[in-house]
Amino acid sequence: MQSQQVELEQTQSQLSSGVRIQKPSDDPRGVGSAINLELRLEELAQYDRNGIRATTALNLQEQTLANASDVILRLREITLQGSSPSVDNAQRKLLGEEVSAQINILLSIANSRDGSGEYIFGGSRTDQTPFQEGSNGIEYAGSQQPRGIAVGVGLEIQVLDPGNRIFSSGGSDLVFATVARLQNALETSDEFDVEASKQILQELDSTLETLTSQRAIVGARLTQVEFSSNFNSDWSLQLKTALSETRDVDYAETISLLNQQVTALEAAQRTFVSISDLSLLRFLG
Amino acid sequence: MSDLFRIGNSALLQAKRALGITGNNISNVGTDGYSRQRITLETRDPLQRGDSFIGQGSRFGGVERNASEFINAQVRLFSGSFNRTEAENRYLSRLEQVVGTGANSVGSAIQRFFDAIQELASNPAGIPERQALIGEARALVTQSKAIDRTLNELGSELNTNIRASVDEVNQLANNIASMNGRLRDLSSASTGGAPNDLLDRRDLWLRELAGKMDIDVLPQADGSVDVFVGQGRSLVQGSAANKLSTETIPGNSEQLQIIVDGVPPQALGALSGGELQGLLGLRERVLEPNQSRLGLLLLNLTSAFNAQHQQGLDLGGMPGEAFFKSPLIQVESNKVNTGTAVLGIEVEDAQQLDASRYRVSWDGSAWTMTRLRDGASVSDAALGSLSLDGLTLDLASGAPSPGDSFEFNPGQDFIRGLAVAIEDPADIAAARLEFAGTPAQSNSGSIILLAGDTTRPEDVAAAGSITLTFDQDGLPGPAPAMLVTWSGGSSVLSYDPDAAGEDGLALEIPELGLSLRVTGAPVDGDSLAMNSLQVGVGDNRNMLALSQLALEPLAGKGSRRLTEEYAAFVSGIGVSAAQSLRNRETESNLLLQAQDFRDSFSGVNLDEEFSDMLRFQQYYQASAQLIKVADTLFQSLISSI
Repeated sequence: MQSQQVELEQTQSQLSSGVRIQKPSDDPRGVGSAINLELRLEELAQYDRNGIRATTALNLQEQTLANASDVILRLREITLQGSSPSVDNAQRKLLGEEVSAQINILLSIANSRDGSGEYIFGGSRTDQTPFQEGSNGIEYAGSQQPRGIAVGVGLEIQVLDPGNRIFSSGGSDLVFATVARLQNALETSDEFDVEASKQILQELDSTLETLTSQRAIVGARLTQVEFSSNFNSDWSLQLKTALSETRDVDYAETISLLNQQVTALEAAQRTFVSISDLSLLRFLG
Repeated sequence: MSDLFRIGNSALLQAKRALGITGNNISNVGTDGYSRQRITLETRDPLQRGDSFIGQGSRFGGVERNASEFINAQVRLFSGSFNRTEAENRYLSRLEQVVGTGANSVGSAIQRFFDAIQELASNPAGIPERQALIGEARALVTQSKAIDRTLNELGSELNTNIRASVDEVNQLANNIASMNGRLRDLSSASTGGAPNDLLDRRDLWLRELAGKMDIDVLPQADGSVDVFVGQGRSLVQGSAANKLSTETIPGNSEQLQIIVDGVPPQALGALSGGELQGLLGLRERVLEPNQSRLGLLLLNLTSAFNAQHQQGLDLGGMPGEAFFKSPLIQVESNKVNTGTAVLGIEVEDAQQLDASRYRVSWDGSAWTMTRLRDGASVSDAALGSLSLDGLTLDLASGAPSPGDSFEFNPGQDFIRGLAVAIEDPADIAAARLEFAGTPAQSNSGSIILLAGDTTRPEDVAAAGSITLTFDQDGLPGPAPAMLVTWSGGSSVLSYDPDAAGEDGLALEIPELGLSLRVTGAPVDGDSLAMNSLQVGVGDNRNMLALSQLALEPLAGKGSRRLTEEYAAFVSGIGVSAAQSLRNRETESNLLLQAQDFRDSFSGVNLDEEFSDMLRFQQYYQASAQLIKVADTLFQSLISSI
């Protein structure tokens, strides 16, 4: 009766917790699989959190690149307008002033920071303003080291890029030098040299191309993150099913077991009562 | 007439005695070890009348005990086996409660630790993420220590139990010996009758003794029993009892062994069976291997982590320190050693280590290292040449004498001394050294450094400025080549500009743990200085490398990952616990059967006693009636006179 009671208590605690394996000896092999499955699930959840971080960083970069493209497009327009023979000096001066404002906007875009205050175009030098005024105009002070985040097993996605490659106007030159020349041409000379304006346009187009291709790269990375996140959630669903099969209570089976055990215990109790009632004393006394 | 009176009287007396014995049975219905007693009656010698013999009533024959030595021996045997499995099961079921399977387990602490590494990899400069990593590392250490401490507590409790159990054995042996003395005196004084209640009591003590350890019981002619333990060692002889004591075995100051009356230590197997065998074997079979296995898991994790961490750079750009403080493996010199040698151990490959004790011994001409779990061993005349399971040894001080031995268990004490060494979040080495190359002004061709990485930042820092110079064919060695020079060394590596292409060529400089990727079409004499070795706070490469440790299979552990090894550890304990539970159930059933058998043979059945009581009551009434009839006959005779 005592052992029946223990078994009944076990079944009862399985039912109330929903967990079949209450201690390792209940199912030694199952307990090992359950631990592995639980930890794999936790691992996938971490990849998911990494994926959210990666998506945030990439969305920010994508937005920033779009803003930079807008500025470059405007500068391209200004270049075309400024080099037009129909524009007089006063108007050119005005355009020059706008370029000066656009430079500041472009610079602040290139020196964008993320939510935690890190520069997003400085490579691994996230604590240092990547584009700074130097002896030769604006110079790149960041590093060449990109940063990756793991969003799945063996899948690392680059989320930070060195800014000098993005804000380049071809080769190792930065677009800021191009824009500075544009500003200079508009503010100082009476006339915009055609060759110079062509050169500037070419460099701005090259920058635009870099920005566009970088946006395409970022877009592709976002797709990869999303793909990986879908894959992870499919996988974790499978793992959860497996975990539930390994560890959780099969209610139908366990409840019928509980009923059996209750019946058996009751039978044992009744038998005990009737046997202990059987005494000669009762009949003779 | 007087015959009738005599017969009636004796019958009355026997009926009273019989009732008394029935009463004794009834009152002892709940007494442990009591055997039911029966009165035996016999006829008195008849009177001869001519050639006829006339019966003279009954007389008291004695009191018999319903006991069978065969059944008692069975009960003794099964209570020994049951107590052994019961003792094992008691400890194993506590052990399996200690190792968690849920959110508070070491396994999930390992997982959370690696999660924190990935969080830090996502934001390498973040102080909260760094703080969190240190926090998770401490939680992992604390969690492991909780299990480790419980295992130590179980171990010392085990020794307390063994000592208490030995005290009980001594007490029982004394009881049996003094009872032997009493029984011998009584049986020599009496005329064949046996003091049944005392015999019962001695049988009970023998049963309790057999529950502690296997015994051989030899009844002697004088009514005493001799008791032997182990392989023929006398525990009780007549009224004298030997004394058991405990002492630690020479090689392991925590493992107890039992000594019979000061006689040199027996091998563990020599005293077998019972609770004591269960308890004595637990440390060697359960506690030490499991403690060692968990210790090795942590040793594997922390040594790999430290090695990788020291390849990185902290927030201040300094090479990473050891992240975890790992204790040295303690070597225990055998207490009977006569030499002065002290051994040191070096772990060459933590993954090869086995969760076993190891013994190193010196026989005067050769050293032998033995893995005690399975007896695998290696021998060599030179201590330094011994190598087993990734372990090497050296003589720290002193000199050995022939016959000296040393023991250690690499995993067992590891967790006790483990701590997180890093306290300042800025000291976490998330970054790696970055390399930037500056081509010389005088170059006519081009050399471009695409990437660089080192596993030995300290050596690179000590190497000062590193210069790459292209050489078409002038140097000894491969041609064309890149000459790499630094303060204190140089290396010539093949470099073919035509093959470099966009991805460049890999240059490996093992002296500095340096891997470079270089491209460009240099001409003879062109050079590049790697003069700006820098670190970015946003660099997470070392964290990414650290996070890989979670995924790497452990070579010596069946290619399991760290967390999988933890799962296997819990599974292993579950297997032992389940097995011991099954053994305990089997033995419990066997013991129950033996006890039922004994109860049905020797136990008191109240129904039977009650019917006896009625029978003896009637016997008494009839005997009384007999006297009354005799009296009536006598009266009628008197009155007729």
